[in-house]
Amino acid sequence: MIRTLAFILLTLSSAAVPTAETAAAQRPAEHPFETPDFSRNAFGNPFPKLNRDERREFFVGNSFFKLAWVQTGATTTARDGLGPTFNAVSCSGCHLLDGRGMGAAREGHAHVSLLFRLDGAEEQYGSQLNPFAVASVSGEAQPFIKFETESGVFPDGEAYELRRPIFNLINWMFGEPPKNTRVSARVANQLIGLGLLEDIPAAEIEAMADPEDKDQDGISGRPAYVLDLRTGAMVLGRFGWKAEQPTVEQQNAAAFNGDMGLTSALFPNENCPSVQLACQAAPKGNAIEVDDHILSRVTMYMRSLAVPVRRKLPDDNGQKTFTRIGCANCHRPGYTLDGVAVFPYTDLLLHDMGPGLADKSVGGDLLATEWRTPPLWGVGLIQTVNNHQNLMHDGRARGVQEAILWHDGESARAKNAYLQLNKAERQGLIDFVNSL
Amino acid sequence: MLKISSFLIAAALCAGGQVHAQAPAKPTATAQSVVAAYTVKAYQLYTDSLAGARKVQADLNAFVQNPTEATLANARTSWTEARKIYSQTEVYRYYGGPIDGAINGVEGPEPLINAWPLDEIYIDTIIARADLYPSLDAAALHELNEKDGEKNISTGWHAIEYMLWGQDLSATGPGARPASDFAAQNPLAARRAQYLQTLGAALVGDLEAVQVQWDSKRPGSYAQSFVKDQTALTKILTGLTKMSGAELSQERMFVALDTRSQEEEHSCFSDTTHLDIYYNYVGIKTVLTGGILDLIRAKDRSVAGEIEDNLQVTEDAINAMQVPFDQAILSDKGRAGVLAIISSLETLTESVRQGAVTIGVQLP
Repeated sequence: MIRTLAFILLTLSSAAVPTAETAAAQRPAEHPFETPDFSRNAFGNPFPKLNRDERREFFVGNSFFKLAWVQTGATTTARDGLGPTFNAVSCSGCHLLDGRGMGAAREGHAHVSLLFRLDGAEEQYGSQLNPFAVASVSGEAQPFIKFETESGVFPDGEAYELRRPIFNLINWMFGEPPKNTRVSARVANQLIGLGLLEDIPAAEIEAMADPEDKDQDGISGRPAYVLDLRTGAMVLGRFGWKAEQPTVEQQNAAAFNGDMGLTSALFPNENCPSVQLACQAAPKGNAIEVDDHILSRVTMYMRSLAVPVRRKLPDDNGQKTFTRIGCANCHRPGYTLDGVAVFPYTDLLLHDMGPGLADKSVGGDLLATEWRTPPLWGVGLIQTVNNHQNLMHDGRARGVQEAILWHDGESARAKNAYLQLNKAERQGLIDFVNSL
Repeated sequence: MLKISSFLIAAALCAGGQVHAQAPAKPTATAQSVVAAYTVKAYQLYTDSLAGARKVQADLNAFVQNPTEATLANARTSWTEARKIYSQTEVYRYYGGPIDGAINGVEGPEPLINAWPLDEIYIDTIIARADLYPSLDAAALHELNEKDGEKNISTGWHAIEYMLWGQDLSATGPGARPASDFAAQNPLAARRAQYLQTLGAALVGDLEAVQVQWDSKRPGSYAQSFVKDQTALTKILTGLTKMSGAELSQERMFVALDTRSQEEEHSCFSDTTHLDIYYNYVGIKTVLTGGILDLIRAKDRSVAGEIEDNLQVTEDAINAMQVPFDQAILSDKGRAGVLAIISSLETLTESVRQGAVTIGVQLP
C-alpha cells in the first residue's frame, strides 16, 4: 500500500520517469497485463489475468482479426462482405502478428500496410483511398513512393541520413481530386496495450494539456475531442495517429469499414461514393457485415493484448537521458490503473511536430502538423516480430535514431538536445527506448 | 485409468512430501533423449505425410486424366487418409520450426499448405479468368497466396479439398461436386484440371521442404541443430500448448461454437473436421507420451498423473462428439459435446503448463 502510494505520487508528479527498480517493485509475481514473451509472437498474447471465458472470447476475436474476409458469395458467410473497395482483406494483412506494418519501406507501389486518408475528395473517393476491390470493381487509385534524402552531421562528426517519402497517387479512376485535398499517409501500428490506454482516466490526460504553452516549455499539447458514436458525446480521442477515435471498439469498427469495406452497427454504410457505379452495383453482404457479436469479440481481443515485459538494461543512463532532454515531457512513462503500474510512454495528446512530418495537399501545400504522441511500449520488439523497425506515422524512420531526428515543432528542443549528446549517450538513449 | 490416477493423487496428498521420494518411472529419460526421440518422431510423421501427399498427387492426376465418379472418390479417399497423418504433425508448429519458421531466409510453408478458411470465390475467379491469371503453375499460385502482405488462399490441403468436394450446401453430407466439372465438355475443365494438378505438386514440394529439415542425418538440417538446442524443450512445449490451448480448442472449435457458423470449421467442404480434431489430438498425445510425461513424472508424479487423466478425458470427449462437426455446433446436445472437448483441452493445457514448471520450462 505504501509502495503503491509512493508510486502514484512518483508518476503523477510532473510525469517523472520511475526507475527500473521502482517498476520492478511494483510488478506482482504474475503481472496482470504483461507477458514475458519476447519471441516473434511477443505482441499476440492475452493479458495473463484473463479467465477461461475471457480467453475464449479473446481467441474468437483473434480468429476474426487474423483470417481473411472474403467477397460475398463464399461458403464462409460469417466472414463475407469484403469491399467492394478495400485496402486489405484482413486486419493481420497490415498488422502482421499484431505488429506494425512496414509502411514507406521502399520506392515503388506503396506497401499494403500504408493507407492514405483523403480530406476534400469525399464525392469521388470518400475519406480514404482504397487501392483494391472485389472482382467486378476497380480500386480507386494507386499509391507510389519515392524518397528524397537529407543528410546531416552530429557535432562529434557522425553522419546521418534521413529519407523523406514523396507520395504520388496515380490512376485516379474517378478523376483527379481537387488540388486542396489533404493526403495523410498512415501506417498500421502495433496493437499491444490498447485496453490499458482506453482505461486511463480522461481527466489525467486533460490535466497534462497546455494548449497555450502557459508554462513556456515549448510544448503545448492539445486533447483531441471526437464523437463517440455509441453515446453521441464529444469525448477524448485516444486512438489513431491523430487521436481520431475515442474507444477501441470505434477504432476497430472504423478500420473494418475504412480499410476492408465491412459495415457494422457503428458504420453501417459501404464506402461507395455515388460516382462509383460498379462499387454501388457490386453484391453486398448482410446489411451489417460485422455484427455486434463479432465486433464485441474483436474488441475484447484488441483490448486484451498483453504488453511485453520491459527488458533489463545494465544501467539506467539511457533512461536518465530520456528524462533530462525532455522526451518524457510528451512520452509520459507511467500511469496507475487499479493500483497496477503500466508504462505506455505517451500523453495521448496532439502536438505540433513541425513541417517535416506534416500532411500535404494533392497540390503540395503543407497542412496539418499535429500528431498524437504514440506509445513507445513494444518499440524494441518490432524488429523481432515484423523484421523491420520502420517508425513514425508512415514508417519513414529506419530505427529509433531516425525517428528522434524527424522530431520538430514542439519537440524541436528535445531533438536539438539529442543532437548535442555524445555517441555513448545517444546509444544509451536508443537502447533504453528499445528496452521498452 | 481415471480411477487409478485419482487414487494415486489421493495417496500423494495423504503422503505429503513423500511423494517425491518415490522412484521415478523411467529414470533413463533425460531432456536430451526426449528431444532426440521427438526429432525422430517428427521426421517419421512428416515422411509418412509426404508419402500420403504423393498418393494424393497421383490420384489427382489419375482423376483429371479420367474424370469419373470412381476416380473422384478415389482422390477424396486419398485426401482424407493423408489428412489424418498431416493433422498429427501440427503439434510441430508455433516455435519457428521448419513448418512455420524462416529457414535460410525462406519462410516455412505452413500458410501455403494448410491455410483456412478459404475464399472459394477467389479460387473460382482464378480458374475462370485466364485473362487475369494466365499462369496456373506453382510459382504463380504461391505468389497469389500472399500478395504483398495480404493473405488470400489459393493453395494447400483446403484448396484441393474445395476442388474435390465443392461448396458444402448440404445439412447432412459434405460438398457434392460432380466429376463432370472436370469432363471435357465443361468449358472450365481444362483450367480446373491444370489448377488441381498444380495444387497436388505444390503440396508435395512444400511438404518435402519440411520433411528434409527433420532428417537428422542430413548435414545442416534443422533436426541437427534442434537436438543441440538448449531451448528445445521450451519449443516442444510451446508448440504443444499452443496447439491444444489456442489452435485446436479455440480457433478450430470455440470460434465455430461461439459464432454458430457452420463453415467456421477446419475442413468445411469434406465434412471431415472431426478427423482433424481427433488426429490433432493424437499428435499432442504422441508428443506427451513420447518422453515429456516421463520427465514430468520424475519431478512430480501427481502432475504427470493429472496430465494422463486429462488426456483420457479429452480422448473420450472427442470419441463422443456428434459428427459432422458443422451440425454438432447447431444442436444443444452437439454443442454440449463440443464444449466438453474444448474444456478438456483447456484443462489438459493447464496441467501441461504446470508440468512444464516442474521441469524448469517457462512458457510464454
